[in-house]
Amino acid sequence: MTQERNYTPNTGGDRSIHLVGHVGRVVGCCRDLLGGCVRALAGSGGHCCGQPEGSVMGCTGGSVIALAGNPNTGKSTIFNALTGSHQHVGNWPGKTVEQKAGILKHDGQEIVVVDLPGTYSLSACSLEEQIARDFIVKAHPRVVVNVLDSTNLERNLYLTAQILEIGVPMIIVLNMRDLAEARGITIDIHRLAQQLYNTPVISVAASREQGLAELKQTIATFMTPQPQVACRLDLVA
Amino acid sequence: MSTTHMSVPTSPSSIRYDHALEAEITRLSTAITQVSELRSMYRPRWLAIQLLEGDEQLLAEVQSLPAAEAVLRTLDASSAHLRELFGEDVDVLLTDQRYSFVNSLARDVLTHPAERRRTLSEKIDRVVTNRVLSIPIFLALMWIVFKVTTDVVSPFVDWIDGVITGPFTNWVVALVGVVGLSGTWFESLLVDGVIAGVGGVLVFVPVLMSLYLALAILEDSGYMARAAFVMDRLMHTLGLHGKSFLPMIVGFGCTVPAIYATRTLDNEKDRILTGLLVPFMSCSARLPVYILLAAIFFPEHAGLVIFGLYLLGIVTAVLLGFLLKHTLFKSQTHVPFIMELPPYRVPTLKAIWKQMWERTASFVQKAWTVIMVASVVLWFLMAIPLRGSGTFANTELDNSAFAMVSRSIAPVFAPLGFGNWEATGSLVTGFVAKEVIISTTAQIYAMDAAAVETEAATFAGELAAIATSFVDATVETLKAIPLIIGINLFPEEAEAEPSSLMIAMRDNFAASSGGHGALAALAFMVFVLLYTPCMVATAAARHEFGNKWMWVSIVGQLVLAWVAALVVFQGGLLLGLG
Repeated sequence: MTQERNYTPNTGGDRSIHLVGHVGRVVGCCRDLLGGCVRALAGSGGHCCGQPEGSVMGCTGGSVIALAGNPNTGKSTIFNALTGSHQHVGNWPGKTVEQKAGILKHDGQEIVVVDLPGTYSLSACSLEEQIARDFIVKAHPRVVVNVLDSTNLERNLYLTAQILEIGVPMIIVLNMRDLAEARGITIDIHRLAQQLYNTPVISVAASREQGLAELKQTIATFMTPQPQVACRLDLVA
Repeated sequence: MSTTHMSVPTSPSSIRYDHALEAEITRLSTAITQVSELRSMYRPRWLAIQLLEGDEQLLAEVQSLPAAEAVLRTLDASSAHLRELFGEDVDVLLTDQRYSFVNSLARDVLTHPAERRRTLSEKIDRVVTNRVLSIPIFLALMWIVFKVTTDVVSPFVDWIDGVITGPFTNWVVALVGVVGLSGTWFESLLVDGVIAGVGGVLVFVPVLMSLYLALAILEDSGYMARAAFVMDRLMHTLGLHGKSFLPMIVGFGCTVPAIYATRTLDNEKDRILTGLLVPFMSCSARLPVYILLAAIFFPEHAGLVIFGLYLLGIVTAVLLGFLLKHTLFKSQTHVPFIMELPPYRVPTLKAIWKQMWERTASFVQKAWTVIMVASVVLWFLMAIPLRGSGTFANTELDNSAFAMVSRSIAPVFAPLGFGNWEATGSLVTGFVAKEVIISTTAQIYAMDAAAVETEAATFAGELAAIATSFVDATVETLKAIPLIIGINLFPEEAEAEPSSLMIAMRDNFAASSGGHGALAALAFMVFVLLYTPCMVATAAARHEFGNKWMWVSIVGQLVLAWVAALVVFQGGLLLGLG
């Protein structure tokens, strides 16, 4: 039956299998898991996390969250605001070609934030889509923070629908609320949350540092102590 | 109890598809749930949808599991059934229904203003991306950038130069005297090696700051994305992908991030091809070389010459790309260029300042490390006598180890008009980094002249002089701004005296080219434009494309640079120029 479909395994297959192996081997530690994920997803060289290897600072028990969204929706701005790092932010789609990891400190907790490349979908057509999807599906972030451009809601929601299908916990961030307001666009946040099966929806203006405190609070609610996902996986497998 | 994902809410948080589709999704996900390897890794419903959509990566994974045979059988049955029902590909169907979910959701929660006004961005775009006006606007903006980086900041360049060669050098000499090492080789190492080398590069900090400032404004305002869009038409007619233009624009700043930026391209062949072409975008480290040489040989038309070099780089990349695309890099698939144009935004001062500062700082860091090491090594090579009667640190430069090595390579460049060992030596060190060309040149001529003008000056007097000359430089810069658009409000009083370095270089190029110094200098600049950017860039190319392509890139660039410089010099001679 495989001959019928006439498929050719693409290079991505390699990458993901490598990662699966990695997850399976790691027991009781997530430092290696994240390092492994970032490295494995980046390709062969292990050069990718935007930081020198090994500096994916000692993460505590699977407290990993991911930032996902369309290009140029302000993910990097939010990433900088959350982690206090100084990644270059540009008015330029495709700035983040690889994941960058940083640490969010909240109430004495250390949460690893991974900034995924901006994509319109998760169909694994391009390298960026593949990186983003593999991370969400296989690294099991505690929550995916999906950043949307409020002035372009409909187009941005396609990615949201796909993340929803993956079944990973999600927070919706409606960024650039100031621009949307200026254009007279209003979004019914409660209705949106309800329609998306009670996914938390937060409206922010990251460039003006509005709504970020609420975002941090919401992220923290997903960090309630629970058995480590990665380790659990190992037991199940 | 579900043993799948503990972290996943059990509620059916997903899009509901059409009944027939849902039935097959359920059937397939039930089959998936039977396979523990899959169940532990994925949400079965999601995996089922992906498989129905024809995801090759996941299919390969499922096929590699012996236990998943039933899943594959179910998949084939479901796909066949759906195809029979709907008569079209299942993936289109799923995408379609996902879109209609999104569409109704958006309609549910969104309220648009009754009448949609045309946004300012759209109005600007009607002009900027206009079929007729777009390219002239692009060229005009680039022209302004080059005028700013050459004419407008030059007073500051002179100011830093004055501070480093004047008061700063005097202070170091005085300090060395205090320690009692006056007149020793140590003093020479500090003054002729470190200060001449590093200082020679630091002089260009204002140039780079202005370039980074311009790039930051163009990027953050959203214009750069338009530039890529505008150029895409041109790129496409040449058979290149529009997305290739993004790394190329980045390449004007630095080749290294530009090579990494090729990852935005989907196709492997396009990626490598773009990676091969990116180094021809003249990076900011090459600019000081052009500025110095243009000031010596083309003082009247410095801006035009430099602009021409940038254009030559672009044209070379485009032509070479066209050639390679139709030979080595033939590919059947044509990926359309889709890029979202971000809205125009007024760049925030903070963001621009940060970007300008960070990039300049990383350049200065390099100047302190790579160039310091290179300068010291170079000083030693220049201090070691290989012939003649000189002793260490007290030899005719002409007899030094450095001169001997460079002289043995120099004949290669003789047909290009710059077969003197000084120019050759700077090109050799320029392989490490382009900034080093200037520092090498500064060192060579500093050693040669070795005339330190010692004026009796007080420390306080020199500090005051630094401050007043800074004010003068600021005034000069402000005066130069109208020059960008060709208006000279302040007629020149007198041409600035060329420095001793400039005179020495002018004589040198004239001598090696049989009296055609300007033509030789032009050939030299063309060579600098086209040959290997720097060690770091080659390392990046190796990283991204592998050893083979790194060597193709290095050899190709050297050959191309040599041939192009030859054409410039010999062609110029034939035409009776220079």
